[in-house]
Amino acid sequence: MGAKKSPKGLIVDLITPLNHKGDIDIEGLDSLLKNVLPYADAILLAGPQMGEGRGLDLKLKIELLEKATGIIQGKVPIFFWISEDSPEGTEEALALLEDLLDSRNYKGMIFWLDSPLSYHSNRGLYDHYQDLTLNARHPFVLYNDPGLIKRLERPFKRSNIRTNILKELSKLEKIKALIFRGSLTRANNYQKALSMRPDFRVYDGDEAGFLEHPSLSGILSMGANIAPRIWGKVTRASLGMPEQDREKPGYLSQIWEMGKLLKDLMQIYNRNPVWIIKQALFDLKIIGSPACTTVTEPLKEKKVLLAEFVSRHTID
Amino acid sequence: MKKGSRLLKQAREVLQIEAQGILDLIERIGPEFEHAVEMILNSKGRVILTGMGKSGMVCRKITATLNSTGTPSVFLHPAEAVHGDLGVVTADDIVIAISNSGYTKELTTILPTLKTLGTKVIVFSGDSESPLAKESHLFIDVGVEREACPLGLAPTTSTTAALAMGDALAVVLVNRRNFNRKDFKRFHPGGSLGGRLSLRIKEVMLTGEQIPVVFKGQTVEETIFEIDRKKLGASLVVDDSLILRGIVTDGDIRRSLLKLRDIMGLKVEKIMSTSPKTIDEEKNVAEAVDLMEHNAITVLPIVDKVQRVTGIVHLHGLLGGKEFRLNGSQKIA
Repeated sequence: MGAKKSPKGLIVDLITPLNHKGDIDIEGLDSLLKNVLPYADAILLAGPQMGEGRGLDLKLKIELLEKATGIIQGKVPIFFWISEDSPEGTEEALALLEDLLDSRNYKGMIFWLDSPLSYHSNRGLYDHYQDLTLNARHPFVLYNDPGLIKRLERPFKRSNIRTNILKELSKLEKIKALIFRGSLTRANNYQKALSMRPDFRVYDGDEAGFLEHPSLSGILSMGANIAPRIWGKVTRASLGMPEQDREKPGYLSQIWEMGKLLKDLMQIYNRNPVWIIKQALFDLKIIGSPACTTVTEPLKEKKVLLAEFVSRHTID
Repeated sequence: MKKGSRLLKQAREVLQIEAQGILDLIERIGPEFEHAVEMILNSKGRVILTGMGKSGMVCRKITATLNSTGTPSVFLHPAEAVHGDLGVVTADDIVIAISNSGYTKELTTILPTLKTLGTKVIVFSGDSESPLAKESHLFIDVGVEREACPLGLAPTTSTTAALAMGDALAVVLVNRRNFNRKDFKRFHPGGSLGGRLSLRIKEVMLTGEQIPVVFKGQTVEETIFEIDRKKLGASLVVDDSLILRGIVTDGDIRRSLLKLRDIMGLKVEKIMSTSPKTIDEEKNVAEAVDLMEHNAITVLPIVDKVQRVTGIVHLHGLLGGKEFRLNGSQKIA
């Protein structure tokens, strides 16, 4: 397991379907996964953005992993966000989640996604990961999202993993990849720091950036919750992955149109993606409730826009 | 003004991404590159480049670079290869296949045949796990992390990286072969190597009165006068039907003098070489140069199907020792 590369392609930053009581909406999860799995190369669960990972308690996270593994059954790799408020909390979460997988004898690929700067400074990060990865049975993926760190109540001084620290961390074989949000200059610096690890993938965590200058490892997509087929097509085209209809006339113009459509879609949900996309999935009867973990300001005009968009295009 | 700034920002981003793609190769290039160099140096054949689409264009450029720096190279279109052009490949050749994805159907189709021929295959690709990479004898990683063009509409950083790796290969081969200024001049007699080497021999050969020739039965003295007049360092020996029977070079005369002393009155057939190398006038200049180099000779008689002499070429004439001349109305582009 440890020697395997992380997958290339479309990682769906899955919303966590919840019912009005705040429990996992099992039917909604099943329906949503069946909708996205044919087009996804990996699924991120409990992610800090779309998965509302910061609002889910550990019990709910464990339940989410349990139910999702039962549905996914190893068809695609799972990325699962494990970060808690402290190194100790994260270690505890990791141990419990690994125990769950062991008890279920899960054979599919799992990658633990961690945003280290949400609970740890750059200083001492290598030692922290030496400890964290030492007994872990599944590989890790790092998540560098300065926006996430800046939104914390007590953020650390730095919101990005320092380049030389990342270079050190890449020496740990169990760390397989990085999901990156940030400037192109930083992306290039990271890439240079990681050049001794050709197996190390750097995924785009920013849809707009990916649609402009695609990372050839892949994309963590929010919009794929609602438009998985189009995101799948555009991702495969951008990455030059095998496609049956690549040779067909009009293929490139079709991809161009799809890319434009995804940019339009992003404009609709980018101010409050979780709430707006959950509303849309609820309207499409894919999930049973648009409930979120935190109260968010409903953007009524966006909901109307998205409803109009859905009615205009076949986006499933 | 604002629009201009935005355009320049985008352009700079593209340059930054493509530059980074090449910089990453510096860190990752390894022993497999050295193996590729050795493989090519030890090969008795040519380097055959093959790839589809933009990769095919990269192949064409690398082919031109290799040719102009002393490594014989040919471009093979993969789609044409499956319809007969594979016949150009021999077991002595090295094939370099370029595909960023490593899944290009036309290349995966011809790979088994190439391996059956015994040809060594080097793959330039961005995916070490791809079918092409796995089936190759040698995999060169030209993977990049980011394309500059949106939506994969056109490969950008990946083709730049493959092209740069090809240049790296050509330059290293130049140094390993001790390619020098003289060699460069040889391959660039007028700055248009491709044009010159692809000319047919009949367009550049010396004909008629320009051919140094004596008949069987003439003396060595007459032959020396003929060699001196025509200034090619040799004379052809023919029979009454102008059929080539032999050749006498400055070297033949020198060796005969040392051996026989008084040779001036001897008949020329006593000292001539009886099996001179020849070539057909429809062949191209590159083939004539190859033949002369391989046999360490400087003049080459041109004959027709019944061995009748139609012309002669001199290595210096072809490769820049003298000005390269055409004998007809055609000009080098």
